[in-house]
Amino acid sequence: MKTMLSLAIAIFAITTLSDANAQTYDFKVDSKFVNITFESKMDLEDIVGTSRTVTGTAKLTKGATSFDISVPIDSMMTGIEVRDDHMRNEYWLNAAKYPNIRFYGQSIKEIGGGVYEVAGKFVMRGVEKPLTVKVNVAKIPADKAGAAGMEKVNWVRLRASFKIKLSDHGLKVPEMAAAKVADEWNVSISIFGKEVSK
Amino acid sequence: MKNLVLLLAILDLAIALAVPGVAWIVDSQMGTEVQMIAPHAKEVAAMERLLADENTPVVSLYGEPLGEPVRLVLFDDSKLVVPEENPKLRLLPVDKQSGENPLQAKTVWFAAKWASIISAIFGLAGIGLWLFLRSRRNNAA
Repeated sequence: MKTMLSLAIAIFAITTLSDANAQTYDFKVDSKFVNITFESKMDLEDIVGTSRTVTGTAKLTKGATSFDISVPIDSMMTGIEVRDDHMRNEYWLNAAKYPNIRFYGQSIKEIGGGVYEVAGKFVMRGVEKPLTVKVNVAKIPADKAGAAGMEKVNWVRLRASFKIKLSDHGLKVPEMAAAKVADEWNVSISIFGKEVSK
Repeated sequence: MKNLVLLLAILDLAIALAVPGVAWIVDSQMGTEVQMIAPHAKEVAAMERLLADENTPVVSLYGEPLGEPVRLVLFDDSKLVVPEENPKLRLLPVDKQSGENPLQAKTVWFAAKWASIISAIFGLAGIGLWLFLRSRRNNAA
């Protein structure tokens, strides 16, 4: 009986401790806290676009990290409606069949100075490719958030830049668009997530 | 007919020569090197200032860079932001979500190049046709 009691206390203590360290952030927040940009550089023009929508969570608990972030293709805008329609059609990103671009995984390693190495799978047009990204992570306590006019809860800001190749995801740029659309795109993200559990 | 062909050919050659000049005037007189940004919301800008250190790029305080600095023409320069932290910078907030897409100088030059080439081809073809029509008429005479 005494052993059982000790075991129960130990389990409770471990659970409480791990909960205290658990930091799960929800990125489905107001669009003003999402700033994602993408860019193709070519001779004719640089195509640049933005998305202000992201969904998903990141768990930054020591020893049990995970993340699953999605960006709806319909939220990606380049400033020209016709071009956006083309980007979404079946020959390009095929938004009807694959409505989201997703990055998910479980490997989040701190490499110092608030920078984490995040490794996972990047999924576009249903094709998964491994992707490792250095992410600048700033944990923002509730007081600091309140001082900036944000909701007074704990937040995290993730900032990262990386490159994506369309050809890695089964998308070959047609010859007639080759002067306008690059195979390699630069992507930058700056997103804020709210802590949802302690 | 022959004179009309000659007139159109000369017009095409004139366009071929004039278009690059127009592009040069548009670029040099109305062009500005700017860094386009997707602007931060007020709260995010305030937070970025709280999080900033000496390594933080000035641009990040105002928004996310939309690519590298680029030369734009014919845009509303009253929207330009000159950061007090670096007055040499010219930041242009661009709301892609609202369909904003400022015209790039290199797009103007690309269009001018092809307009010039195509006009020159038509112009030279027209001259060729005019010479052909003239020689045929001379032979008939």
